[in-house]
Amino acid sequence: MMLSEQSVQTAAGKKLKSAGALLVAGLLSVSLVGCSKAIKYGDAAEVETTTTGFGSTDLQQIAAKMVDSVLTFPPVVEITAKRRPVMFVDTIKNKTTEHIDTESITDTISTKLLRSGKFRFVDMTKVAAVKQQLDYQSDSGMVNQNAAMKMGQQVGAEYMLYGNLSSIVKRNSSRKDVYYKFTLKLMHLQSGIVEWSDEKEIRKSKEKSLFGL
Amino acid sequence: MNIVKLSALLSGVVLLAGCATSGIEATGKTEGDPEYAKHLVIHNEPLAKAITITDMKSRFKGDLLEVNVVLSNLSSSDKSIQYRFAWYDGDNFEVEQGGRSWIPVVLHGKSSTTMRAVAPNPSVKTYKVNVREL
Repeated sequence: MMLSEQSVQTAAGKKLKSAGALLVAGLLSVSLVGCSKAIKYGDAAEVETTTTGFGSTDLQQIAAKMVDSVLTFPPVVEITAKRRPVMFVDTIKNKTTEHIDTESITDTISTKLLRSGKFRFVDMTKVAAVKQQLDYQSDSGMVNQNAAMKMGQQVGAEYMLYGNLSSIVKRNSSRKDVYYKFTLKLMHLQSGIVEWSDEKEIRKSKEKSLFGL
Repeated sequence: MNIVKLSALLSGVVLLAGCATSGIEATGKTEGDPEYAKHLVIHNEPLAKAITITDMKSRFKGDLLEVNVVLSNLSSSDKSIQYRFAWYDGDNFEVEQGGRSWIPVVLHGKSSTTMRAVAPNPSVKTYKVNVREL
């Protein structure tokens, strides 16, 4: 008798629990619907401080500083006064612990340099595609040879742009501090001389909020 | 305790809502009137009382315009500000529109900082700098 009473009570308890769970789930779904926000476009130039991780503002600051610096460095001003030297961009070594698309940084820098009218670029990421196209034009028999682009006529790069991105991250119970250092160098390929170099430092910190939110 | 937290949070919200995103705007030209104060437009009076542009210089490096703007904090507290340059050609058309992002700077109390930028290409003749506090 006692056993059956207990089993009835357990069954009732289970029902109550499931009803409670349903109620919580319902409330949650209602609250989620209530909190849903409309999608809107933002300003890509705004300062972004969502986390201390590497973000768009860091990329924009680095690119602006590097482009301004290289374009106003006196020996570079002299080199670019009468001609537009050809350069190629090597990879930026990511020495931070984060996954950062460093090609995106160099893309922004090379685009700004190209648009300044001071430099020209060769794109090493497209060598295979260019070769394939030139092979097609010269060997396929499909292209009028008078109008075909000839092999062996490309202009070699005179300068190489390369660099590093490193970071130091420190944290304690209430504060996280991130320091980024981006170094960029411009090397003359024939002589091996580094003609220009500059650094951009960025410090970001995050304190735990007053109410622990 | 909860009431204290709630009232503090609410006052924070009110303070945030009160923050103005407008600021100070200054226009500089490569030639003409060097009195930069005449080209200063203040959209935010409280900010203009705490922060002021104390110098604006420009020069050509090669054929690119280089600009140096000195911003001073008149108050004794640190100010987190943002600035952005915009560039215009001889016909007053914006050059490389959207090419410049807002740059955040911490301006310490009673100190100055230099905002330096180089025009994106040789067609630039006029520049504008906007300063705001967020």
